[in-house]
Amino acid sequence: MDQFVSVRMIQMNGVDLETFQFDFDMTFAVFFMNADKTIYGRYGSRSDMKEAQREISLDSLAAALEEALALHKGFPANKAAIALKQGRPMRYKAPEGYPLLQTRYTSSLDYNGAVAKSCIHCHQVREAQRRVYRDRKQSIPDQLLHPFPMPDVIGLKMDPTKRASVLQVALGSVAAKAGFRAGDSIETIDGQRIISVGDIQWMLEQTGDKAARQSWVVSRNGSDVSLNVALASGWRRASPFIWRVTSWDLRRMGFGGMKLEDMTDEERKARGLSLTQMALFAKHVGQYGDHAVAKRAGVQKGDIIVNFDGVTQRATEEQALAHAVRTKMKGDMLPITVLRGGRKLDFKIRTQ
Amino acid sequence: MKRLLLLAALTGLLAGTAAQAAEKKLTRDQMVRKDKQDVQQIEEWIYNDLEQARAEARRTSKPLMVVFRCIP
Repeated sequence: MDQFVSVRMIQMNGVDLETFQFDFDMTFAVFFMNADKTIYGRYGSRSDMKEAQREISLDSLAAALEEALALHKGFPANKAAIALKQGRPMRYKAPEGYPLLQTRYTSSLDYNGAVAKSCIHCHQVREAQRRVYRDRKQSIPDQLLHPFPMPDVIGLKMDPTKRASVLQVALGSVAAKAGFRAGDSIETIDGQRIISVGDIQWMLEQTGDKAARQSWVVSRNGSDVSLNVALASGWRRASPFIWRVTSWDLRRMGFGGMKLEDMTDEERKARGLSLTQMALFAKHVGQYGDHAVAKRAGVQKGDIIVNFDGVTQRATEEQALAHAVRTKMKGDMLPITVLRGGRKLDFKIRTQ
Repeated sequence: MKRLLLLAALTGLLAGTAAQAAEKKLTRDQMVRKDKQDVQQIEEWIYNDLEQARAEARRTSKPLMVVFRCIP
């Protein structure tokens, strides 16, 4: 610890977004860098709302710290091994520059007033980025809908207690086709030294939305092995987003404030619904403001959606939400049919 | 030994913030102010001042560890 200068940042107000780019749905994110803001690596991963620490551990953080220290000692001779880890130019340089945030926040916290309310939280930055597209009636890019994919997206289950070690390889996955094996330790991706799972996510993040190829080097039984990862067009869409804090704002945009749940096989049988048809249960219907659009349209908690914009086959909440925000621009109407007390009712929800 | 100290310091930081969040008697504003007070007492940490941390990194030639961890 005494070999680092440690600083804790508690808000996004005033943060340089061209340097500090990370998964804004996390509650704990770490950057290792030098005084001139050259980034050695990142630490921090998340894949679940409730179990926010499922993908991280003190052991893997300690391993990342050791690797970061080694990179610092080797700097600047090793510049090429971290060149792709640096932030990219951004449309807005600081969070308070985004239209959604600029009227409510400044570049610092207001300790003389309502300090908690003056804070820009990490997730608000992602929401502000998506809002730019919605307000222009443009589709939200996949990179903003499925940001910072976990390696699971290519079939790699990583060990949260290690620096970057493969626990399992999913059968038939991109990773399996590339030749990964359980126990492989990820050393570099496209020449960049990997110090954590967060670093792997960063390298995946940088490949954008289209088909791409990456060169991974793993350590296996003491030897380095090169593996080629082929990402097909649309690969990022396999990375779930519904667990994210920011999906709440997506539900406002696409669902008018509903939280839906694909009914289980048992629930369907009990209600006489088929296993292949759409049956999205309205678990929650927002009651206030922009989150009450579905309520004002007539939807009630407990309704079962059986037709969603013409789609009648079985779908998860995430699939329906992705459909809504991809195909409906702000202001478009979304027709749904619900089952309520044995009757079918039609509603139209204005998307936002 | 150094590794154990490091882990203990990090555990202290995380546990401290979680404990504050659990203090339901305090308002959010009070928790934020208490968080600042508590973390500023941890010698190893600079609280919410990246420029101070960068200056210290320049002075000591040490790398920075920048942790984004929300206020309660």
